[in-house]
Amino acid sequence: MEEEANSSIFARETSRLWRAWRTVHEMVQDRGYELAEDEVKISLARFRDEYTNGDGSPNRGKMQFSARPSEAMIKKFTPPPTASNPNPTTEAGTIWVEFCPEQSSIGINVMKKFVGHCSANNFKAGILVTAMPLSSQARKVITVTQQYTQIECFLEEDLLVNITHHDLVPKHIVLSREEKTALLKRYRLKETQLPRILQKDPIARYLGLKRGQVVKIIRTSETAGRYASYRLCV
Amino acid sequence: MSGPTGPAPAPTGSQTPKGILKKPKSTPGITAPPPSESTPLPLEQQIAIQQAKLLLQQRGEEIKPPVSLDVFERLSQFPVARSDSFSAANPSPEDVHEFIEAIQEFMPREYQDLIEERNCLGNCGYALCPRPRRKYNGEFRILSSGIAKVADLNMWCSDDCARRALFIKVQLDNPSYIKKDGQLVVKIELDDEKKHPSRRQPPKIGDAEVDESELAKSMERLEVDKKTQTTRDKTALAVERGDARRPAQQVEVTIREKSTTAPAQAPDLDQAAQDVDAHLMLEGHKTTFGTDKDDDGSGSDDDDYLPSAIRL
Repeated sequence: MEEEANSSIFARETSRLWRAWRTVHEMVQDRGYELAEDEVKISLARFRDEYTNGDGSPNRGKMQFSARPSEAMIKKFTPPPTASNPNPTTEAGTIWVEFCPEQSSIGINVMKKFVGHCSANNFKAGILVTAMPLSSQARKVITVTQQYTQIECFLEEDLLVNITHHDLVPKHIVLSREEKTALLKRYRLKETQLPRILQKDPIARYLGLKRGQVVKIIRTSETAGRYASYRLCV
Repeated sequence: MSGPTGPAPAPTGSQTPKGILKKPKSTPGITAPPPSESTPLPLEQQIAIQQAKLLLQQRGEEIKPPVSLDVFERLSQFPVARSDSFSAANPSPEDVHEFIEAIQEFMPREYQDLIEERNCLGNCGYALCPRPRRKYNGEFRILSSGIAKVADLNMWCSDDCARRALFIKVQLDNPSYIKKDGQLVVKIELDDEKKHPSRRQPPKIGDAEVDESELAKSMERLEVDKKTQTTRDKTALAVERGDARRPAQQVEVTIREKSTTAPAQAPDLDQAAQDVDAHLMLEGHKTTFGTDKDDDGSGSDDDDYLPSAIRL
């Protein structure tokens, strides 16, 4: 009887994790990293085979992957060459994604271990998916190490659904630096004159926007067909 | 508009036109050194000195910098000395010293963070307690004192530790300062547990005698309380009535009766009928208008309508 109850709990948790796993893959792919299609569109049966223990409980320790940026992404995140820096290096680098096996809230030590792993393996960005919220000091670790490694944290429950697939969410495209300067020149704007989007906005978090980046939002319009607006991340 | 030119007699070449602008005032801060100084410093150096002074002043006024993560990490793994001889009630002196040194720099919010951080590691929220925290399930829990949130209970290993941690928290919330090496630091001390041992240890069920004497004492206290309570109530009531302001002043009341000359007589109808104004009389009283004063001139107006019979 107890085993049965356990297995149903495990099945539920596994399917939740499977959804989060798919969403985080789609997110990484949407940001421009290279991922194979069969990695992203993993079926529940295959996920269960690969990431559960013998008794059916999910094995979060196994759920981790890295991804390399695609050609297009490398090009997009390379700053334009200047006189002083004729051969700029790209800001895009490999990303590390990990599900945290910790079941209580995340403290400094867990966060430090994750940051240490990312910097030791030269990952430019890291995504930690946790079951429980972070402590306020763990959040501080992220801001302290931000200049070395870009760390982002997501809750499992926030990743159950891919918000960009929702009917009412328009298409968001991150602009490169050249595109941004071209936009500001075209409309003779200053940066601050653009509408804004918060960094903690769900879509901004999904796309991993940094302060100063501009996102192009394309909505369908009854009168104009398509309507583009731009927002500056603050 | 160059002033003195035009139809006026042309000035001579030596006379320069007077400017209409105010003379620029030399700022006192960046002026050249006074001539009295023997070796005047260059201007850049002076500005640098001034900026350094400004920075120093700003640092004095600055709000406290946040506590570093290392301190949090260290305190979240406290206490260092873990052996059977030490406990939360009796921590090792080195640990106490280090804990107090560190906690003096804390803001109340950061102390809350420390508790959270210790709980993440599964430790009791009180930094000098070596035991793990409680792990109750559910959302609420019924205690002898009422209903408590499990999240609050799970922060500590026991209620005693919660009280000890609260003792620290209160001192951080309402800090009192002591001078140390010329600087003011928040005064933090641990609760002296030897002072009130009875409060700490709940009475044991086996000690019936102790219990009875305790009970008698508390009953006595209750009796005394009752008496004081009644007096307190009385004074409160007096204040409310306004008596409390002049408690010594009491109004003297004396009752004097009027002297009676004849037995009381009922009003006589026949006698009244003889009167010309009988039809104006109402129960022996004739209404008058204010203008004509009493004609017989005896007594005041008020007494007029009162027949002598009903006077006391």
